Amino acid sequence: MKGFFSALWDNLSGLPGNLRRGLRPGVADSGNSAASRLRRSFVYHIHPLRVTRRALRASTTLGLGVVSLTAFLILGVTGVLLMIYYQPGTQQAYASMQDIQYAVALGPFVRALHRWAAYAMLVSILLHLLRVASMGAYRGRELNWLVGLGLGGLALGLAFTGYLLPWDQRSYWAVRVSASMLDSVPLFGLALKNLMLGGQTVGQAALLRFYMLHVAMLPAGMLALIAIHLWRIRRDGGLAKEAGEGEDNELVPAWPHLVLRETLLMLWVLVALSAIAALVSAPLGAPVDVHIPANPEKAPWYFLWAQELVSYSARLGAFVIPALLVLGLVGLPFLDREDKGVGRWFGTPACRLAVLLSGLGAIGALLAFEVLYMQAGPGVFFKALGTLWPDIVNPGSGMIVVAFIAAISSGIATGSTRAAFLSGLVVMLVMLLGFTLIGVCRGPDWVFYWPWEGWPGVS
Amino acid sequence: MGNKDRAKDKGRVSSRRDFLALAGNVGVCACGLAAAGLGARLAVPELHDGPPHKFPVGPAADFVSGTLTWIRDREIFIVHDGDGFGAFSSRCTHLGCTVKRSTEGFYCPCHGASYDGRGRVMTGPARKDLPWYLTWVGSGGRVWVDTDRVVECGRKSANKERVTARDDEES
Amino acid sequence: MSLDLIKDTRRLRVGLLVGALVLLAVLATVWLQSTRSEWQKRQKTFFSLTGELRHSTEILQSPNCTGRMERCATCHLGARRFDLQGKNLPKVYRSHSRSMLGHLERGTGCVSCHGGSGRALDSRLSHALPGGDQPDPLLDQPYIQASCARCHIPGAREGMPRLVAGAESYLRLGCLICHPLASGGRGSWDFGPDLRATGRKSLAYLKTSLVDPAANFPGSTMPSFKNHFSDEPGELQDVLIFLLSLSIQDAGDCSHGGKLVSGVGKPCADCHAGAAGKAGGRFAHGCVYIVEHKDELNCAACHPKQVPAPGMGGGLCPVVERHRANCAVCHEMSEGSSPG
Repeated sequence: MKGFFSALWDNLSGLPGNLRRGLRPGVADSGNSAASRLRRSFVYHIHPLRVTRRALRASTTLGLGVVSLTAFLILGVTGVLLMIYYQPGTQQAYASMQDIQYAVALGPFVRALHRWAAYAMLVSILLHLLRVASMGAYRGRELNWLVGLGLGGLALGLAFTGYLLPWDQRSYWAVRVSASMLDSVPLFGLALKNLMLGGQTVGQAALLRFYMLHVAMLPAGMLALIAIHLWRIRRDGGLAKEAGEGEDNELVPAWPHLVLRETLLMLWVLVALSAIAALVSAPLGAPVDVHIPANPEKAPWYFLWAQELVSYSARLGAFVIPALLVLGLVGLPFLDREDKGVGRWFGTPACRLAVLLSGLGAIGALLAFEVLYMQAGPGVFFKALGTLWPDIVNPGSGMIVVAFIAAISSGIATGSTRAAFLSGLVVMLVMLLGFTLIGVCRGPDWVFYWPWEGWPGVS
Repeated sequence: MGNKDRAKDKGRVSSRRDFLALAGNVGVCACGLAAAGLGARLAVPELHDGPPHKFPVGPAADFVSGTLTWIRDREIFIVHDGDGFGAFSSRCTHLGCTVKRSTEGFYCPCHGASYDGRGRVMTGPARKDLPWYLTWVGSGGRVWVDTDRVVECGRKSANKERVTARDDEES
Repeated sequence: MSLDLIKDTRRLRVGLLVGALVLLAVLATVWLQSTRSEWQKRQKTFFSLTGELRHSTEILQSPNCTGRMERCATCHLGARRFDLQGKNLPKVYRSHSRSMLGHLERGTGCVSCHGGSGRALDSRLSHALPGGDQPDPLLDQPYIQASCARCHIPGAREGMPRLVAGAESYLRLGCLICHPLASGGRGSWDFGPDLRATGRKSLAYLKTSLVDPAANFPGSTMPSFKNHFSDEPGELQDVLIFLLSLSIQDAGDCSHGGKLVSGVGKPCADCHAGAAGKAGGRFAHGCVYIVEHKDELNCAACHPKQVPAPGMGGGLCPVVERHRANCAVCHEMSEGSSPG
């Protein structure tokens, strides 16, 4: 008995030392701080030991990948917090959103942070794609390019599924209209719509599926692809560049020069998004009316280009153009295999000129198409020629034609596949941006109003 | 080991080890695919959601001759004139928004499609007319509509016409 | 030129420190903001005005008789405080008038009469002011009487004189000819839509529909009633109250005695209403009224060619012919007769 009590007493009095030793194994032996051990085991695992000076410069990548990742992490944290109060049922969803907005401490802030981080992620992913494309950094890295496209697609899916959850007028009608767009997709369209909605109508089944996708399946996919994406960067030899010259290639230790830069960027992204969320709260629309849409009923800004295209022709905007975009992007590293100019913005000076001219041409072409189309009065003009013509002759198809012309003429003029594809890409980008702006200006009954014209009151 | 070398010269997998390795891999892959397939089958809905496609809309006396009524819950219009009762969808054939009435007929506020008074498409991004559905008056005096049976534009049923005995399900 | 590693590191660490401080400042601001939201400020002001010594604020919510949660009492702390009745308080804190005491005791809540959004705690959204996209904007006097129709049939009970006056004007002015209100919700393009199915419209829109219909709806065949009101703004307001009541969102199923609202499959009750909302009552029967007063109703304003002048030729007013089916809902009618 005495042995038991003395052993117990020894253990209790030795508690501080044993706590230290048990919870921080290996400290006493190595003599290193916890910070350095953490750095060694984690930071050096995902970073190389040394990087080039080029990798440190802001203008090389603009840090867009880091910004996207930061936004994703913010979304994960704020999303989990919102899950505490949000209820995914058609009867409770809107009320739970109102509660988050009014009856939950810091609810409006977390909700606003979630929404603005989502928009920031979409923008930074797009800019990141454009940066990689314009540097030809996909050269020799086909797998990582495809993984990156997958990440972009998942991000759009997350934005789309998340948009339905508040179950307000805008959410419901956005999904109802988008689901109808699937009718234009041949072969899989109707089956996909049935699977997505869990039935024929947008209701409780659809809300639950979207919720499951938004909080579980798509984030899991993102995490997996992010891991592969970061690993492949290391495996492919770091940031893409042409065979080396000059002081750019001088090596410096990744810690602290690269890692602290990344941390700094993440911190300032968080600061910026928090400030915006503190100042501007996320909107909550009118409660849903499943039979009568608002007027105008507009998609969120990242899909306005699609809504504008679909308002010319459902088949074109819902199927043909997205399919061409995806095919073009997927095929890019296989169709352009030039080494020249990799790692430099727009590669060669000739390429830069071609891209600039294509961009300017695109602006001019878009203005011309829109003026002609709006004057002609879409249906009246083409109805006489049958219903196939409006699907073929509209600003959306005009965009495809101009993109091809720009690509081919740039290619011929410069002799470079990079210039060709970048020109085509820039034309698409400029015109899709133009369609987005036109979509912003659309008012009640989808009539175009200049920003300074007021919209007529609709009862 | 000697077996393996000889077999490789002939270009075939020979040893049991190689075969078992391959079979094992194929087996695991097959299991993975089977699991994915089961998951996908689970996701495909079995239940038919939403209200039935054949339904009564109300007593015939409610729909005065010469009127057009919107049945909100079913998103259809009921029209009654001298030729009888007719019903057509109020969902725009472009992307499914509910159409509103206009001086010429109907228009869709979502993307500007317009239809004439009988639902025939006039301008805008819609390509098809508003579908008309089979309509009749049952024995109980109620107007019935079957949205599974699309009929030609403008088709109406006279007040007393029976479609078929099978359709007459009034109690 | 080689990178000065030490200087670079120092700059980065300083940047991190500054960033961390700015983030802390932003988060502190957010935290402070959350303690000074509008409803908390209102509660603190109320406590100081009434001399109460409460230090903590809390959200006050309770379900109304239809089960919907309401948080109006969070800011409107004086609503049930009849002891504060004489005091000179800002409007938000004033006690409710005693006239609706029976309703308050029965738990009808605030939104059933006043409109607005019960769950919001932001005055802009909880009051759902007109012009926005909220479905149920706040109603002021005298239009608040339209809310009686959320649960009651107009005229079923005492206490809604202007609503009843509006209903009677609806008949007198002939609105019922083009906008009949029998059950089943009929309306038509030629005659004018069912005013119960067009959705909630703003007061401004409804007023424009009465005095200048073409402004709201180009090509409309509806005549203007600008000069027909016997007593402006009184009768105009009465009609507006009645029109609002047609499209007002109903309060939902209430916990005591089921729905009081008409239209549950009983066509009679739409036009007739007696005590407790049962059929048997006060309204003049619309069709007979038209027949008896067709001269006063000025049919020619809408049907210039169709109406035979009184005393000329045979036949009935064609308007009656077209509305024959209304009568047939309740009355036996042989061809060519009008209901007795």
